[in-house]
Amino acid sequence: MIEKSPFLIEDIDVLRKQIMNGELTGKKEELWNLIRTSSRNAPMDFGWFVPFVALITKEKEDVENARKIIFTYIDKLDPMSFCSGMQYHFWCFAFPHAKMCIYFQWLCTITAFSEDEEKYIKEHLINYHFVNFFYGMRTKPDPECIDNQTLSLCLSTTIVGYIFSQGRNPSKMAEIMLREGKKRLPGVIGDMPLSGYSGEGSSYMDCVNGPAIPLAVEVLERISGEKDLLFKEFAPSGAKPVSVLKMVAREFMPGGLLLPWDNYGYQFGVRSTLAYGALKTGEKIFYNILEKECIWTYDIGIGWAYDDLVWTLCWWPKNQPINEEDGSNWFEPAAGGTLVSRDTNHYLIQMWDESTPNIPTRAHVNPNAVLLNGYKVPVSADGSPMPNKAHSFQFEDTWRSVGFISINTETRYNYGDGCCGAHSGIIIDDCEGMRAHKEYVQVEDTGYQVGEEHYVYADVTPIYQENFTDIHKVFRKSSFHCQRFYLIEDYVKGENEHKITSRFLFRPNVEVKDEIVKVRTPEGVVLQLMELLGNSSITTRRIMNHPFKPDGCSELVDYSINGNEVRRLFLVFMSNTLKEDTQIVDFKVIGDQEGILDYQEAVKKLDASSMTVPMNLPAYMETSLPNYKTWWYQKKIEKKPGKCFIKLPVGMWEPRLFVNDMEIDLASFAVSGELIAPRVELPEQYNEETQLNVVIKVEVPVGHYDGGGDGTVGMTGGVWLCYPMEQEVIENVSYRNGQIEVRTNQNKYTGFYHLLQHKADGKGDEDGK
Amino acid sequence: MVNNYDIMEQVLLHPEEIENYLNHSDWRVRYAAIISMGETKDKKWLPYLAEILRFEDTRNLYSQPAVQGFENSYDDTRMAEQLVPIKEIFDRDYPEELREDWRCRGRVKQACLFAIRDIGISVEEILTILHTYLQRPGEDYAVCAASAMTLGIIGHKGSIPYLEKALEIDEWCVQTEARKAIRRLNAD
Repeated sequence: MIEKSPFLIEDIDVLRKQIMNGELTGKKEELWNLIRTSSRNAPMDFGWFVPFVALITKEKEDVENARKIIFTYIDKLDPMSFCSGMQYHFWCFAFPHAKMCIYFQWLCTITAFSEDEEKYIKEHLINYHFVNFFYGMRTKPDPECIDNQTLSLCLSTTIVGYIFSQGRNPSKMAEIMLREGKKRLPGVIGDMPLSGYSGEGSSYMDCVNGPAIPLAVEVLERISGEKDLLFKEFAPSGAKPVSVLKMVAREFMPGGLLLPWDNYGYQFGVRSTLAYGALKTGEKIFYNILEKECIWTYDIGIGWAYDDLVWTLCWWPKNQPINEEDGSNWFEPAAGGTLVSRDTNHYLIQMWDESTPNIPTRAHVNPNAVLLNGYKVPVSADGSPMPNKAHSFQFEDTWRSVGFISINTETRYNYGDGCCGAHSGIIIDDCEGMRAHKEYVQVEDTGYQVGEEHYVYADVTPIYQENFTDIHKVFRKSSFHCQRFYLIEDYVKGENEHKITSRFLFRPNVEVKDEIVKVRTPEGVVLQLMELLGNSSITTRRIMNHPFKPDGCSELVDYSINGNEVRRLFLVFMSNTLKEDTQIVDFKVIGDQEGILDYQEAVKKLDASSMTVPMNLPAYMETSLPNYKTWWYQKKIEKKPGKCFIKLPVGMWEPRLFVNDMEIDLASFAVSGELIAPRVELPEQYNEETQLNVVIKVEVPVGHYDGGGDGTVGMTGGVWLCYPMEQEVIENVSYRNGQIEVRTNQNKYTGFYHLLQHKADGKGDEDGK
Repeated sequence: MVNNYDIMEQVLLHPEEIENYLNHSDWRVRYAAIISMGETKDKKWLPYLAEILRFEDTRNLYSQPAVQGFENSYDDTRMAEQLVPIKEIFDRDYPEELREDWRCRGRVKQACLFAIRDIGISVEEILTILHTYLQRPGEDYAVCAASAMTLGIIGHKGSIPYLEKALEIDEWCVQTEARKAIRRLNAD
């Protein structure tokens, strides 16, 4: 086994000195405090932090906790063998197994185990990997299988092989695993799409592919002695590992949620991949997101291990970024492109990533779908439905039954939510279940420009042509004007007449008035959508149970007309109606150990409490208080006369808000509050008040696993006073001779947009682009 | 948990000792011995491999009932992330020999198939076994995929109907290996 220094930690002495001598500051200090306090307050609830804390402090209690974690894992190995997950989804178990091997190696460097213990643990770790995960790696077709599963298996086999084939008493099993793992690992990286996007959605990019890259690069560099592998083109396709890191960063939307493309939908992002990207590339995109968009209280497995924050701390760079460009505007010919304002308050992505033929469970059919985000709040809806609930996108021919998901059990599911109709794109003849049925290039042409003209377009005719043979052209171009509004041009041409629908899926709520569709999110962001060319009929429909997050439902808006050539031009204008004023800090806090206090009892205890916290994180992460689930906070605040809103932290569980002894109803944020901070309007009776006594009750996760595998979100973001601001409303729009003029109640905006010119055969001419 | 680590290491380090362990009671040792055979690429192992495959077919590899639950955990991938003490709960006690079959499933068979592939020589008796795997309902997909892959190396045109049948199995790895094998055999 590697013996000298902790595997993959660049310089343990420097890191240990920085931490133990109190040299960390700012967010890095906050992060270490969170890891250390969680690890010490509740080691079995935060087991993935524990070995790192022991390695750093070397204190007896921390080391004892870490020993217990390793032995717990070893004892888990046998019962784990009877688990459906282990037998059918072994890649999910291989990656954390490799992580435990790394942590075991770390602990051996501080002599945490006796010689006999070390031998016992080592033998079990090697043996288990050899018969389960080495076997698992060999089930995956080589070289065809390029996905998070194979990456996990090849990486973990290489890591385990490397650790245990070195030093004294090298293992032959480890040597074989290293040989076979390193034979396949570079090819898995090298055959990833050049965009860095594997097509498996943000979840797998963030939780497996992204976090695997730093480890793969580091271990391959150690094995080969080569340097800068992050930037190397890997055979056979020339993909660079750094592209995966970049795509992980690009998946962040303003406000910190990830793109809900493909399976799983909106969610928070992980951090260590960004820290490694910042460390190795120096590019601002990584720093920006790490420092401005990420939250600490999102706890989810990276490679099915909850150690994201540990690696974030290990890799967080000291240096400043080397470039000015924030990277929010990006384009990948095989995936999509973004149009983002300088202040990031306006965000549009148009996407066309390849969908999986026949059964698009993970890589959805979303040719040219657009997603909009305004003032750092998502306005579009996309993702996956509520588990086990019926919804509108379950089609008769998209049911599937499989027997390889669970032992002795057949699983039946519907993959209709992966088909075209569940996305904000173009639907032909109401064919919502449209999908590809064989392998081919699904996109004909793409383009992008940033600067004076800022646009993105794609011709996605092939996938439509497969389904409707007479269709010659399906095209969409989105453009951004005056740093203020978007235009979306749709064009469809076929031989025969078809019903052509431009579909948008929005978050609730939607109303249509005077041909303008207005979307008003629960957070007070308003989107106005107008059709400038064409006279389609507009229909709206509430879709229950899709997507699951953030609202458990969505609003479908269809613009439809029959024809063999249809062109539409949409105006999208987003406004805010709320302004954040001041953050409220220094809350009195009490823990409610049994979760049984009523309001009166809690207020009495709060009055007597001298403990105050900023309320940016769960109290046990900000102080040395125990990791209780239920907490009460209280603060007297000043407010301006007039209407007022309170912005609560995101990710509160079972929140209750009392203002001047009266409870305010939070039901409308019950679902969305997990991912988006609620803005709660205080009833009119408070308008003239200038002092408010605010009491908040909240439950928080008490460990890694409270999210049941989907990641826990603890409250974060603080409490803010907000006041209404005048909404910018469209009053008049004209589009003539390529000039677009938008008059609002506050401004006049003038931009230019030339429609794509199409030849008789439906093909665009170059001037139009 | 059974730990014959030293023997597994021994059989991999010293292929000349393989025969001593082919009937070892611990399937992990047999698994290591078979991988050691594949490493040697020696055709003398083919009769042994056929015999082992026949023996594996007599075991109750796939008869595990779904667990009733796991103390502190779940019967799915969420267990992977948990560093907590867990315990499986079955509807009743099962003999240890049977539980060993369930832990093993198709692992030893897969190791045999890859060893045969690495040796790379066609033997009719073995081809028949491989063809059988591709037709047998309930056979582990890892075994079916390895069978298809191995047939692509040692099979002949007569294997193609079996591989075409395997394309009907709704599992991506099996379909991919079957497709590859058909292509390869048609090209020969």
